Amino acid sequence: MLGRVCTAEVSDSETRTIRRSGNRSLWLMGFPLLLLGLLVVAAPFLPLADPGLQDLRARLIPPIFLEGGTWEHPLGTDQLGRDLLARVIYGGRLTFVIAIAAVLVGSVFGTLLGMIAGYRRGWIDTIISRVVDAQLALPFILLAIAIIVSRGRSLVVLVAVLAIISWAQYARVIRAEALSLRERPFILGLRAVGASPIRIILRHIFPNIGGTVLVLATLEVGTMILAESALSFLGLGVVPPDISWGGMLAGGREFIKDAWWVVTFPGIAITSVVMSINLLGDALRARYDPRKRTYL
Amino acid sequence: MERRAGLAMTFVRFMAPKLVGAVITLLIALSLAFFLARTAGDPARNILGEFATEEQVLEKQIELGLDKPLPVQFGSYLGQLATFDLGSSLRYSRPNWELILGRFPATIQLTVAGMLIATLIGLPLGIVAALKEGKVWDRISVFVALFGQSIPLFWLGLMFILLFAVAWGWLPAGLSGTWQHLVLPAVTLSVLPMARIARLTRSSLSEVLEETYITSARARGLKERTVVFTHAIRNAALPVVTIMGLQAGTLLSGAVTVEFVFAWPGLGTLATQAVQFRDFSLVQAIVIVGAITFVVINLTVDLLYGIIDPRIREQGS
Amino acid sequence: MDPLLSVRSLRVEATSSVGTIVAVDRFDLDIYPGDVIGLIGESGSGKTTAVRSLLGLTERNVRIAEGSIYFQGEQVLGDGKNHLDRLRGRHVGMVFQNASSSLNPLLKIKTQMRQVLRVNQSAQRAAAHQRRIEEVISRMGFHDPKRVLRSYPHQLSGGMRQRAAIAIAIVSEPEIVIADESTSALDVTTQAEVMDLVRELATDMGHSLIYVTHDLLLAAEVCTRMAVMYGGEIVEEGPTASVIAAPRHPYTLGLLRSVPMWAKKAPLVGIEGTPPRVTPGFIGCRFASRCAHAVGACSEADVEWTQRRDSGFRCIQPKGAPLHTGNG
Repeated sequence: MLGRVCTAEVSDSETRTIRRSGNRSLWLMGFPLLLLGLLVVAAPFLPLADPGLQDLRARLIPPIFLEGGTWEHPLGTDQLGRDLLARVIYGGRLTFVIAIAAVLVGSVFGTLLGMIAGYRRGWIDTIISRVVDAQLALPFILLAIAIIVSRGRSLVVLVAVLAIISWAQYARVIRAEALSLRERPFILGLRAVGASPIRIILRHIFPNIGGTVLVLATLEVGTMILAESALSFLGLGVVPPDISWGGMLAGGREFIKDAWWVVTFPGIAITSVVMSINLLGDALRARYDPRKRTYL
Repeated sequence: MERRAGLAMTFVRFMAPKLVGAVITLLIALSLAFFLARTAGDPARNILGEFATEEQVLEKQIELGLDKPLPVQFGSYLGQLATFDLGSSLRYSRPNWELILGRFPATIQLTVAGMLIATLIGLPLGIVAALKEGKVWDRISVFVALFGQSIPLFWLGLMFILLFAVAWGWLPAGLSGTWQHLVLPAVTLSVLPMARIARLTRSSLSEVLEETYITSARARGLKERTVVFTHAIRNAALPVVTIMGLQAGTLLSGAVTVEFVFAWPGLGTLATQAVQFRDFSLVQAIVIVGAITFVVINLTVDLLYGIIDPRIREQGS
Repeated sequence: MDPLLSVRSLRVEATSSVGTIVAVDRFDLDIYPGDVIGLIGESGSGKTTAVRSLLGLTERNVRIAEGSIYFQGEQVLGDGKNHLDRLRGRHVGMVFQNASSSLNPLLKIKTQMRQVLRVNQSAQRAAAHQRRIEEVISRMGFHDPKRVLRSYPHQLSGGMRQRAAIAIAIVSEPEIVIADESTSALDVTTQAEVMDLVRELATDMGHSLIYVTHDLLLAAEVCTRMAVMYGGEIVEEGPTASVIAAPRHPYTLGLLRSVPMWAKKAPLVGIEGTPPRVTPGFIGCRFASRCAHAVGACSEADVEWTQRRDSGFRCIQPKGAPLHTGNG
């Protein structure tokens, strides 16, 4: 029952609007992300404060544009006197690493299972589809809580949890595509001459769904960032002294009345990054829309 | 009379396989939840912390039945499910169902209010956007959809608290009781489903408006209002109803963080408390209830689907 | 006798990202009561755009640039007026190319028929509507008309759906019915059956029919008059018999020669080339680039319409030679 293909895809009209805003948007959207990626990677070489350095005399200093702000801490400091700018940039490192690792694991498993289910059909498909339905029926935060409570917190558990909540999405979409691909003349031809299923799946099915996987994976990076921040916010994700954006929000929450900046800047970072990712994903989708591609 | 009985039969034929499918899905989901949480994990050690001695851990394992082999544990888990026994809370020493039932109404209130707001704003926004493609409202709806899908809900909640409670003092920052307490958390929770509903309504409706049967309805002399409201919107509603059902899961997940932010006394807060006390029995019970809720909501959506679309009603599963 | 519907110098433009195209140009047509007019042309000739414009039902990027339309002597388009929506359903009924997609999938046939009557015959009572619905559906040649009324579109076969679509189009007794390639999705036998039915229903009541098609043979069997379109213009118009017996425009001649049945004496030939993209600055005969008889003058100025008694054409080198017999 839950196997209905979710039709939250870009419609023609939406593609029109996206196209209108230009194919240039692909670069326009990708560029800030690239810049941010560089910034985050190059963090240790930048003239930034030590993100872990506590200075109790410099607690909750406001950002530079408020009274009392100093250039020493452009975005102010948190409840332990740590520099927010450095923490936002360093926090981005871990946030990205976790999100990308989760997307890699989730997309590899999901895509493989989706291709197998869609191509082989039969009982294998029935089982995989049922498990996908079941996976999607578990509210993700509750499932994450259940796993983390019995396994404890660690980066590996966090990435595994995020991968577990995302693989089903890939499997469902990719299965539908593989299902229609296997009836295309060129695949039928390969099957007729007796090419092995593994070869067909890897050499012929996969290249044809690559665009879809790319689009899904891009959008999923945003989803993973949101999920990671939610888990870290609830105290289930990154363990201090490791820094992630969600973890920063959890720490700053208690001081919201006195120091709004501590919870505001990491949130702005999350929202703008996820928004750029979503725009990039939509731009990619306008280019790789599987329904627009013509086979043979 | 005979026709009505026929219709009833159609519905039974339509719903029966879905009901069976739902039960199977639920069973797999609950088994999945069990194995993901139990295999290789050691709740006992986790509960006691790293400084516990081996004897203490062993004692705890025996107390919780964790010393038995996994299949035996799974068997007793299924047995509990079959008898609707959700176990007892480790922390509160009370039956889990009692604790859950006490918090359930608050979560229902919050999610229903959130879904209402999402629908009341998202639907018209999507409709106006589709009717005025490329105009101001269209751009607004595209932005709302993008924004809503990109912002962490709990952070939005924090920002609402900053503005409406701390800075302006218009609304309470947390807890429950009056309708004012409901406003901020419900609005926060509504943002993601609102974004998805607006986006999907827009794309679905603008696709339907290009269909020949819409031009054909106009050619029959029907008024534009009738064409849009009785012909186009009903056809466009099908995918929107689906997405609303699937939003149930998102909404439950969102409710956990939003409840946490606003100290809303619902299931989400109960779950986060259970985490603090490593009350894995209670957490497991909440997961079960969450999955059941999701499946029931989606069954309802299937039923709704059958009512809207005669084609689906007849083809059965 | 006055025409029911008169169209004068209609010009319709389609705008896309690559520029503007003139889809219909210098389109004149008179429809008298009882006429069955075949509007013939290959795809892209502008025939569908032309008839859709008559009801103001063009697509989003298509607009009527100029022209006037009169219905029963009253102007409904032009001079700043646009009352084309008043014709819809009440005076002009339309049957679309593919009935499967022109019927709302979520409403029963009866509901869709009733809606038309409610809007267009609002003075009548529900009981009168019910009688009219049953009367129309019983004439459509169904085995079980009552079941059809109760059915949703997906429960009917393609031929039945097409008949149901026709029933919906004529239930409010419009003076003119437009059938736009209405049978091309059906098999040949059903096609002829359905077309006969439409003609019967329309002309029995003294109403008129515009039959839009690319199928010259089918049109010749059904229509009293024919209008041949090419590149957005009507290139030849006249009574069916004289158009077929003595075509004056080279394009009409080409069309006739590509129909096996009529090409007995001459070899069966297709027309070389493809239709031109007509942009707003286009000058000259639109067919010149494909015409075997074209001379320099054909492309130097727009070709005017020549009217000879009850038929006319748009060509400066009209063919006088009959295709087989008769005297043009």
